[in-house]
Amino acid sequence: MPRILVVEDDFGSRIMMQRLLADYGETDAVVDGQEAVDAFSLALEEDRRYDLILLDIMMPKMDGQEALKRIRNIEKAHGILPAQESVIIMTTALDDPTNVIEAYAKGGATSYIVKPIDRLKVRTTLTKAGFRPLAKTP
Amino acid sequence: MNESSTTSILIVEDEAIVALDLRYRLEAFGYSICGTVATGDDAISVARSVHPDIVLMDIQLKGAMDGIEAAERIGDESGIPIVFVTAFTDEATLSRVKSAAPYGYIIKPYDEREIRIVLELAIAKFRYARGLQRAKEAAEASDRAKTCFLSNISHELKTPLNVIMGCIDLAGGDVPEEERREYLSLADRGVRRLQTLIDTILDYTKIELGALAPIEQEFELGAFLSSCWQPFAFDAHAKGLEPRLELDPGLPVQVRSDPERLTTLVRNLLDNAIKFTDSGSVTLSAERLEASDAGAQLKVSVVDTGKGIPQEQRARLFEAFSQGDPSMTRATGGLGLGLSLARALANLMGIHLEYSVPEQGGSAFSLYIPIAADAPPAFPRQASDATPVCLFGATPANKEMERWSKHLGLRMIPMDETGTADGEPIAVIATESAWLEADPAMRATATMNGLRPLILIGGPYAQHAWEVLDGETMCLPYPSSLADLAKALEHAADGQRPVDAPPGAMDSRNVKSEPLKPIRDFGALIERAKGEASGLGLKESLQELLILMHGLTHAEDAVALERHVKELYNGYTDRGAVACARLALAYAMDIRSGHDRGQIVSRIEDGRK
Repeated sequence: MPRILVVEDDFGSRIMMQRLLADYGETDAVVDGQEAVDAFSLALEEDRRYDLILLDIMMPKMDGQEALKRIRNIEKAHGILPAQESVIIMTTALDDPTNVIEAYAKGGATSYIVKPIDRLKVRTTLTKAGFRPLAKTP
Repeated sequence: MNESSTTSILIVEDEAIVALDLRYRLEAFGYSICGTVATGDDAISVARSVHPDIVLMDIQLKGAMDGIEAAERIGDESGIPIVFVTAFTDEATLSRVKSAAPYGYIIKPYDEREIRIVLELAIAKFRYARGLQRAKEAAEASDRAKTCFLSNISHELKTPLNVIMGCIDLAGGDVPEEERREYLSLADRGVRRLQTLIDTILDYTKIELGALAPIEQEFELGAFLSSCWQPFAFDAHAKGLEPRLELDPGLPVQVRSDPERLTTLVRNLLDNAIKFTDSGSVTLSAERLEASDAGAQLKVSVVDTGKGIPQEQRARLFEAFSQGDPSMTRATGGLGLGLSLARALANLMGIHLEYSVPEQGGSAFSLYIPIAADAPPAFPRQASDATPVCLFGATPANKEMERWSKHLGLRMIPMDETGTADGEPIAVIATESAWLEADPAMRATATMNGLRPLILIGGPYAQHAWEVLDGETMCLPYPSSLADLAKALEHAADGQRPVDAPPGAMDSRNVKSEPLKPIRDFGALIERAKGEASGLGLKESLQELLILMHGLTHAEDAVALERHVKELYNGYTDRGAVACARLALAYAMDIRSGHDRGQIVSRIEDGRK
């Protein structure tokens, strides 16, 4: 079962994202960029990496852009090839060019969802990234 | 005005005689000479310490540094305008001079008039350039603020919208009912948050346009404070903060102001307090201040135990779009409009808004709302404190109870887990619901197996309203309003009353003071009504009625009525039973509104004919 990490500081959004993604795998949730990097490192050490990370940009302590760069650096340092990298989808209210370019060009984000998010957006983006809903257990 | 009289000049000249000559001539024009130095290093240090308006700089100087280099460094450091005075006219010097961007170039030998003209032009040009520079900086700052505001506003608006859309989407799916309710409650919170934001933006815009006029009216203070507090209690709780509502029992029942604007104002203060507090508590309190020079006032405060506001930011506290930390990682979010809007709204309504630092740190914002000096308090202090009431545990709700006890005529007795309270008779046990609901054994001990009436005060974000669960257990939301608590206590005390005491409806203030006579023939009344009328929803009607019976009266006839209705409920399925239930319902409601019982009976009889 794919492992998914939701990084989101807003309480309601976090619960909602977790539920939206429950169809796609096992989800964990953290509240800021620093926790995201910590959770990523921990999972890497335990050899149960996250297949998919949904990363908010505007967050306390460490923002999503910074967390993105750090996660990609950790992957590089561990010799993880680009093809094996975690899929990182930025989820944010900010769709100005500066932020989008920063995420893709400098950060190495896989994809970008602009809030508000619903099931359709999640499905479209995840399908492109190669994730399918799990078959429902009867 | 002769500007030259105020212009101070630094002369940098290695030839003492030339320097002296310059000095005399300039002083004769009315300039003030703030120094004469011979080396580049001295020029830089004097320029730094005395800040002349202009520097007259020779190029060839004593020491390693020449005038051009000194000029460049002074220019970089402080931007003081430089005028060169030199004998050099060669191309090489000229091209170096350009890089120092001087405000003038005087070739030796000079004449007086030339110096004066060049100096005056340089000063005028410098003032003009400085004005331009300032305007540019202001424009850039405003542009930055706008960009920052736009990015904030999209984040702030979209965050709740995100929750609303996502949760409604989820609720529409194939999910269990309980989960659906959770999604809808999350969506509901999002909507409220969005509403506060939109109100804030609209109010702010209207104030800017001068188009906002307060609409004053009388409103109920307790309900107002509760409605301000309720949505934020959840947020505070979710953040691990202790939400508190502290109400002074001497508060007036009614206040006159603009309730809508006041709500926006108080919610903005609460929102801010929760945002900037990471641990501890957020308190909304209201107290009545004794009449002073300013007249009688109501003080409403929002107090947090957060990081407070640094001294240097306090001056800009109420300015629009200013937030302590504008970066993307700012811990807080928000538009930076809250406090400036709060101040503007307060001014509009004639309310004084004050910032202070509480003793324990954090921030306190207080509103001083004028009230009528003779406004009657909601709960006048009771002379006796005869009714002993037990308090279970030590919760914020209990602290409030203690403050209120004098006004409610109660004597508070602390109680421990063993259920004993110094052998005192106990009228009511008040507690925070989570404690006892979770532990039936403890509940049984505390209530002596249901012998003591129990008032449960809900958790910080419980949404339920005042409610009587069964005859002996009542439920209050936390924070409960004073009126709710008084009602519950009265109800509980009623239950302790000897059976032969005059019966009365629980909401006794609305009922006529003369004791009501029990109706003995109610059963007959029902019997007669049986064959008549038609309708559906028997169960609902009866259920409704039973609840009303519990909630409204403890009188003998209520018990009798209840028994009859129960009989109906069990024994009949015919249409007449529905009619009976409706009659009984009407009866119960009429008792509540204090109508004369004889009249009701005859009305019911009339209706039957």
